Order: sequence, then structure tokens, then C-alpha cells
Amino acid sequence: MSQDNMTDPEQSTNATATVSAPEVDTDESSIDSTVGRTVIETRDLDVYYGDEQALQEVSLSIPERQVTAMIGPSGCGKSTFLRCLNRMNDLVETARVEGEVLLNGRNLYAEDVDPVALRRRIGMVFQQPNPFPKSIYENVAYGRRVQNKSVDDEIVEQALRRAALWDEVKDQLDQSALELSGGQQQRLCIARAIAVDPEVVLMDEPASALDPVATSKIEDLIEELAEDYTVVIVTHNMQQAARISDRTAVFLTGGELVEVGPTQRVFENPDSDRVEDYITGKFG
Amino acid sequence: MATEGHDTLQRDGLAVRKERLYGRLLAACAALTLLVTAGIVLALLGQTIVFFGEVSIVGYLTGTDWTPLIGEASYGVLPLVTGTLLVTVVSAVIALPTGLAIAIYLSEYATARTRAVLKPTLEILAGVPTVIYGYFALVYLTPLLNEVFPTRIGLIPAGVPVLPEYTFVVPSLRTFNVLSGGVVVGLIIIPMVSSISEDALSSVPDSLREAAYGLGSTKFDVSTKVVVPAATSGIVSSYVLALSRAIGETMAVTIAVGSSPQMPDLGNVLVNLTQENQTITAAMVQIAGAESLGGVTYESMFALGMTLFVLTLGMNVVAELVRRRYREEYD
Amino acid sequence: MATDTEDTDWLSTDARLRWQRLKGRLFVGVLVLATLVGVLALAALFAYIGRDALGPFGAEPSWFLLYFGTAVTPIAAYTLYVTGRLRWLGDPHPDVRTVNDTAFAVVFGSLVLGLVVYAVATALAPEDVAIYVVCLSVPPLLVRGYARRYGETHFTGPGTPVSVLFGLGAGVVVAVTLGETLALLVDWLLFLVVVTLPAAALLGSLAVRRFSRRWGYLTSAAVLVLGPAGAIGGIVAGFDPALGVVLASGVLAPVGLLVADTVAHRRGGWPGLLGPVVLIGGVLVGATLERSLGITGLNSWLTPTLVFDSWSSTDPTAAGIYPQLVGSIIIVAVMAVMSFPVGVGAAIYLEEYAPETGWGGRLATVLDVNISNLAGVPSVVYGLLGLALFRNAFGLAPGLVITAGATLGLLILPIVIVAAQEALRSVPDELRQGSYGLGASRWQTVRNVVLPEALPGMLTGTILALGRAIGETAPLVMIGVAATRFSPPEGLFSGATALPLQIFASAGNAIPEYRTGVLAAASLVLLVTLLAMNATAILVRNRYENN
Repeated sequence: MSQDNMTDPEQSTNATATVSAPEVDTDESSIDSTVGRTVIETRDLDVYYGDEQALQEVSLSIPERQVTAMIGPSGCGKSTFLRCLNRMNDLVETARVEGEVLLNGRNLYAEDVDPVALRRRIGMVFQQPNPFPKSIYENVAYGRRVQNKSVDDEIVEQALRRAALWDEVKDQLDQSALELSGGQQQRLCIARAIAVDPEVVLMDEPASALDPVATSKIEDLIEELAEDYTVVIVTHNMQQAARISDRTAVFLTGGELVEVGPTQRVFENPDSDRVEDYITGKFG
Repeated sequence: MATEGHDTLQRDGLAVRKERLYGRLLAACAALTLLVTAGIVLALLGQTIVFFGEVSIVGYLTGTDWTPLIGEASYGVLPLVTGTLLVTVVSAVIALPTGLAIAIYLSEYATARTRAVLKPTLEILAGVPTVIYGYFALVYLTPLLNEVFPTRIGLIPAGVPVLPEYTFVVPSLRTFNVLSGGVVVGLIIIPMVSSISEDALSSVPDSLREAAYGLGSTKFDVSTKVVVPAATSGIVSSYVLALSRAIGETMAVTIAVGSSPQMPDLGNVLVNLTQENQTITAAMVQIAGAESLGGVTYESMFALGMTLFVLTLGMNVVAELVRRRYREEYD
Repeated sequence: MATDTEDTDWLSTDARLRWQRLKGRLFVGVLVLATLVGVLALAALFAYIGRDALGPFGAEPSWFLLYFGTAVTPIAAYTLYVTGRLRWLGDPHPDVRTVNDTAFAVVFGSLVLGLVVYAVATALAPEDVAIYVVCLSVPPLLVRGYARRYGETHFTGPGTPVSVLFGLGAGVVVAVTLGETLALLVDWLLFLVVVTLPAAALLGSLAVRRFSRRWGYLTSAAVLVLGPAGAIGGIVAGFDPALGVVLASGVLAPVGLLVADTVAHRRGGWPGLLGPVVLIGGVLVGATLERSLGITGLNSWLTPTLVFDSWSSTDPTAAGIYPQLVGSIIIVAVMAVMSFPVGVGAAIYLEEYAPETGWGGRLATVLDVNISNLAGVPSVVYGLLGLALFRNAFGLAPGLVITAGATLGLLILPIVIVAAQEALRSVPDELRQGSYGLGASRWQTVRNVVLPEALPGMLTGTILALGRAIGETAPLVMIGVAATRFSPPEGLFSGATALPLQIFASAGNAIPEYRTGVLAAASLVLLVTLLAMNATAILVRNRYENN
């Protein structure tokens, strides 16, 4: 299942007239040899909520086992994009999606793809920690149970270890998950997402509801997770993106993907003026 | 993390089929409610049509004699309608102002502790079985009220030139009377008025109140001139719903008001309150209790039911329309 | 609650503002007066009925003193202690409050439940009840056990309700074939099946969770021993051994488990266990003293005769409402079975499955509107529906239990649906999102995440609706339920009888003692039942809201 992505153009074109110079950004991956194969690729992804367009022909590739961050001012479509990747937008009745999202080359919006099955391969962690009102053990086991997979103590332990939570909860697995602190709850949500062995883990502003200490724990965790999973994270905190991500995609108002590339380059030497303005804080 | 296989993005066919089955079963449960409505309409309509084959609609709607069980049966519904109306008016006089006052108190004035005591009390008031209310009216309320009645109010004393002497007389209450029944039905519907009105009053945003206070209004002004008018649609809606409930009330009026339908005395209006009467619902119960299955009398029960159903449904629809149409939208 | 205006000195001298303030106070006065009308009316209702039912004016002052001393004072002092207001006795251990609440719930709950089961099962024929208990519980237990053992969910999911239906069919077959043979068995043996076996299973599994597997087996064994012991106790003490079985394994056993659990896990809270003891003991002591000292008690119509005997239309002192009580309970049970599953199913469809736009959305709106209209239809009309449907269309005899239960079930269906909808709506959406994000399907999300969260609210709403329905009389009259029966109903297809109907039928009894005595007592029983159901509903709601 090889995908030749070395020459994939990663560009966003604006359907409407652009004011500044064309923001075409050729993929730097030919220069950056550490970028692996593409796991997820979107092609001309448009999303409409009713009559309002939330994403404009977004095309971008997400490489394997790296942290790809989406940044941009609020309301510019980052979360919408993320939710297209695992078809969570299907749950919104007014949402209309056009274009393609490819997982390992297969279009996820094809007729023969079952969104429920797809979400078993792409996991999600939300902004507000949302553990179920069940025990910690049952939270971690939930995903496997609904997917008809086997559940045993070892698997639960492994997931909790990978989420850097095991030591703190190993004696209270039967207690309600709601008794944990916010940061612990979020790590629990991460644990239950990875317990089902997804290929990709999507995170929608996972640390924005947490205090700084918890945030830094989550950030460390994300970097570790990238060793085993592909992580796509949406964040409104630019410094966070700069800290933990390998690649960064910048969305600006109206759902427009303006630039994407290795994080260091995007932050230190962006191609687009608009991106530079955003990063240096002139707006946003 | 290696995954099992990049093959299907499909679930097990059985799982998908089960999902669909569950969805259909649940939809069937919801569809059952439509069947219930259809059943009610058909049940009522069926016998009503047969009834009107034997009794003229005009005679039914305009006749002033309702005697289905005695000798030569007569099926004029007017006395029942006026009986229901009398009881409903009495209940409205009691419940509508009281309910609104309670709602205003709960929403604008009461402390949290008072509310914590009052709300369950009102719930109990609403929950007492209506048979017990009827029994209470018959055995306790009527004798109690008869301490006040009969009354004579000398409006124009003797000795005044030109005008004849006139004394306003209200006789004592009969055992079965409209007043007791109406009072008790009023008690039954107070909680309905107060709870729906309170919801309406509470949903008026605080910003309106604060604006009024800022202009130097007293609490009385704010409550009566700002909050209540803002919640008018909800309050009116609660009134209509409560009246609909009062019209449909059965057991309390059957026990307390009696089973002699009569047309109202338009001369001394208050006398009507002291006399026995019969409501539509009580008439239905009376026929059912008479155990005659079949025949015009049996069908008349359904005709009455149809009348009642149309009346209450109409009122409920009006209440909902009022609520929607005049609802001030607050963001 | 909005803020009020400040009062500054120089304004209050203004006469106009003084008048405004007076107006304001008058207004509040009017409001409070109106509120009092409602409260006083309710108080008057209870006062009059209570006075006539219980006859407190017939008792000597010393009677009141006696019970004040033996029951009221101890329980008041105890309550003050438990809520931490008796400072000089020291603060109670934090666990005492929870233990106390649980103790009252377990003691009185199991007592009421046990007595209800005893009464209903005896009325319905214990052998039938025993057969159905076995047939309805064994198949699903087998399916669940298989699922747990082999970790299978594909077929065992739908398999569980299917097995219940299978059990129902099997029960009918067994009842028809073996019913008469089993009827020859002594009653208390059958009650071992009805009460002791389920109690052993339930308490055993509870013990496994609270203690360990070994203790679970021990608990079950203990319950199984308590059952026959209760029968023997009954024979020895001279009352129905079946009642002994129920009391021993249905009341004593749970209480025992509670005590053991408190000692093991919440030792500091042990004073909480004394609550029911103080209350019941106080009343018993008072009763014994009353008898031995010969103090005249209440001139009460609420006597054992009223509660346990059957009706008499001529002799007020011999009139009883037992058949009607049992009948009402059975009707409520039938109602609950018929309306809860369908109501919850409809609510789930409307809240979780129904589309919001397009044709499906419009249909969903129609369904919603239809349901609120149904909720406003007068109950007499439902009676006519029952009449037309069950008597005319299905040709059933008038006034059967199943007809009454089904008609009232239809009556409360809209209320159950609305309550269930509200409960479902109150489940936060993030939980659903989390479940979908993990690859769960819609039904899996509903079943595993949404329903458990919404269930307490659904139960509360349903219990409140059942409480309302227990007092409904009009539909019962319309479908021809007989006013007076002299024995409780024997099955689904036997003639129904209900307490409010009896009250209605006798309101016109010529003998005055009926109107001022018997009916008052019967009304009080009905009111107490209603209050108990409402209180249970609120307890359920509070317990799960705090969790």
C-alpha cells in the first residue's frame, strides 16, 4: 500500500479571488526526508453548513507517525476539518461535504464506507474531557467492547500506561472516572481512544480546558504518542503547536488552508505574508 | 501502531442489520402514538355518526332537555354545556387570579427556601385524586359554605321613594351544587396555571428587569408593568390549558355537582350556583354506569365524548398557537 | 431573582414614593394571600379527611402524651443528632447520614415491597406467580451468563429480550399444564420460589460486589436458610407461614446484609442504623403501653378491618378495602409494564433517531405535536377508547384487569414519553460525541451511554405518572369495572377492582358513617399511597442527581 506522495502538491487555492500573491506551497517533504508515507490525504475538501461555507477546497496530506498541528484564529474551520477526517460531521444534519478524504488511499466518503467502522480506525479526543460516568476501567474498555474486541486487564493497563495515567489510577480502576481531575480525565480519554488500536488519533484542542501543569503533561504525552500513532491536533495556541508538532497547517478565516509544512519552517520562515502576520500576532 | 488489516471499512453485516431493526422497532413505538389518536377519533366518530343517524344534530345542539335515561329520551346538549360552563367559570374565577398570583410570587418574590416548600405543596395539590376532591366537596365543603349561605343582602331598603324594595337573596346550597364543584375544580387547576405561568415569568430575561430598576421602578412596577406583560403569551396559554382541563374534569364534578342537568336561570344568576346541575363529563359517567350496552343512549355517550374531545382539543391547539405566535423571542 | 432598589433617606420623605412603597407591600400581601389559599386548601383537605378518618378527638390527652414520649421525642432527638444539630452530643461521624438514609430506605422499602408481593401473589395464585418468576428470570440469566463467560455480544444483545419473551410463552404453557399440580403445594413452599430464590440471587450478587465471591455464596446460602426458617417461625407464632417466608427472606435478609455492610465498610456510621429501630420500636412500645395502661386511643376508622377485609355496604364497621387495594396495585403494575417500554422506545426514537429536517423532520414534529395533544385529552375520553377497543372490538368482558391496565396505560403513555424525552435531553451531548468518536453505533451509544444516564429521570417521571393514574376513576367507570368486588382479582382476565372506584361508588351511601368514616379512611389510604409513590419518585431523582 505505497503512496507516492513526494510530489503531492499541498496547496490551497481560493475559489474566490485572492488578494495577495498566490499562496501555493509545494510540499517540502522532498527536502525533509524524515516525513514518512501519507496516512490521510484530503483533496479539495469543501464543507458547507447550510449555505455557509466552512472549508474551502482544502487539500493536505498527513504523514504517518508524526504530530500534525492545525492552527489559526477561532472560527476558521480547523475543528470542522478535523471532524471531516473521521466523519463526525455526519452527525450534523446541515453539514454538506464535498471532495475526498483518503485513508491509506481509500476515499472515506465513498458509498461503501461505514462511518462507524471508520471511526474504529481513527480515534478522537475532544476539547472538554468527556469521560463516561462509568468506572475508569470501563471507560478504557468501552471502545473495545463496542467494537466486539476482547477486553482484559492487560490491555487496559497498557492503554493507561501509554497515556501516562497508570501509576495514578492503578489502585482505583473501579472508581468513577468523574472523580479524576480535569487533566487526568483528559488522559483517560486519550487512553480509551488508543485502547482500540487506531491508526490515527485526532485531538481537538485537547489541552485548552486544562491548567498549565496538566497542559504540559498532555503535551509531553502527545509527543510520546507520535511514536506509535499518527496524531493530528487542532490548537489555537501557537506556541503549543510550535512546541510539539512536526508539521503545521495554518487555516485562516473562511476555512482556507493558507500554508502547510514542517513546523520550524512555517513558524520561522513562512511563505505567506498573511501567515507571518498571524504568527507575529498582528491579528488573530 | 500496526492495525489488523487495511481491508474493509465496513462493519459486520449482521451488526448493520441489527441496527436497522432496532431503529425500526423504536420508530414503531413512536408510531403507536399516532395509532392511539386514530383510535380515539375512530371510536368517537363511529358511534357519533350512528347517533346522529337517529337524533338530529340540530336537536342535539340546540335542545334544552337532556334526559337520556328517563322515559321518553331527549338528547339536547345545551343544559350540559351550560352546566359545564358554569362550573368552569367558577373554577376560573378561583384559579386564574390565584394561580397567576402564586406564579408571580414564586418567580419574583419568593426565597429559595419558600420555593422549596411551595413547589412540592403545589405538586401534591395537583396530584390528589379527583375522586377525593369530589368527596371533599360533597361532604365537607358544601356544609362549610352553607354557613355563609343563605344570604340576604338588602340592596334597596324599604322606605326609599320611587324605587321598590329589593333584597338580593341567595338560597342555601343544595347537597349537589355548582359552587362546591366549581371551587374544587378551581383548586385542581391552580397548580397548572401557576406552574406554566411561572415558567413563562422566569423565562423573561433579567436584563429587562434590570433596565426597569435602572429607571427607578419599584419592584411592584417591575413585576406588574414589565415582567407580566412580557410573559403574557405564556400566561394566556396557561389559562387556556387550565380551562381545557377544567372542562374535561370528571369525577369531582360527578360527585359534587350531581346529575340533574338544567338550563341556567338568567334572572337571579347566583341561584345557579346553589343548585344541582350536570356537566358533559358527568353525563357520560352516568350513562356508562347505567350499563346499557347498545341503543341510542349508549351512542349518545360517544357523541358527548366527541363534543368534549373537539372542545378540549380546540382549546389546547389555541393555547399552543397563542404561546407560539405571541411569544416574545429572547436571545 | 432580580435585585431590588436601594432605600435612601431623602427619597423616603417623598409622599409619592411612600405611597408606592405601600402599594408594593400591599401587592406582596395579596400575592402571599393567594399562595396561602392554595396551601390552606390542601391543609383543609388533609385536616378534614384526617379528622374523620383517624378521629383524633376521641383520644385521651394522655394518649398523645404517651406517643409523644415513646415515639415522637426519640425520633426527633435522633434526627437532630443525625443532622448534626445536637452540638453538645458531639458531631456525628460523616457516614452516619448516608447510613441512616440507606437504613430507612432498606427497612421501609423492603417492608412495603414484601407486603405488596405477599398480597398480590396470594391474590393471584402463588403457583402462577412462582411459575412466571422462574420462567421470566431463568432464560435471560442464562443468556447473560453465557455472554459474560464467552464475551459474546453479537447475539446475546438482542437475545436477552427475546429470551424474556420466550420465557413468557414457556410460562403460559407451564402454567396451563402444571398449574393445578403445583397449586396442591403448600403456599409457603411456593413463596420460597417467589421471594427467597430471587432475594438470594440479588443479595448474593450484591454481596459479591461489596465483599468478595466467597461472601456472596455465603449470603445466598444464608437467605436460602432464612426462607424456611421464616415459615417455621410463622407456624410457631401463629400467622401465615408464607408471610413468614416473605418477612424473613425479603425483609430480614436485606437488613442483615445492610448491617454487615455497614460494619465492614462504614463502621463509623453505625448509629445511622438505629433510625428505623428508634421509630418502629417507639411505636411498638407505645402500642404495648397503650394496651396495658388501658388508654383510649384514636376513634379511628383506619383499622385493620378496613385495610384487610372486604367491603360491606350495610355495616360501616365491617367495611374493608383490601380487594380494592390489591386491585389498584395490580392495575398499576399492568400499566407500568405496558407503558414504560413503549414510552421509552418512542422517546428514544424522537430524541436520538428522528431526523430534524426534511420529510422525516416534519413527521417527527407531527409526532411531537400529537403526543402533547394526547396528553391534554380528558381521561373520560380514554375510557371511551378503552370501551370501544376492548369491549366492542376485541369482545372482552367488561371491566377486566387487562382492559383497565391497558386503558390507563394508554392514558399515561404521553406523560411517560414526555418525561423520558426530557430525561434524554438532559444527557450532555459530549457523552454521545465521545461514544461516536470511539466507533460506537447509534444504538450502542444509546444503550451504553445515554440510557443509563437518563434512566433515573425516566423512572421518576414514570412513577409520578403512575401515581397520578392510581387515582384515576373516570376511565374505569367507562370501561365497566365493577364498583364493588369482594375478593381481589385473580389474574389478568378476571374482573378488576380499584380503590378510587370504591370511593366513588360509596360517596352516595345513605348511612352517614360511610361518608364521614369509612370513606374518609379509604381516601386517606389512597392519599398515603399517592404520597408514598411521589416520595419514592423524588428520592430516586435526588439520589441520582447527587451522584
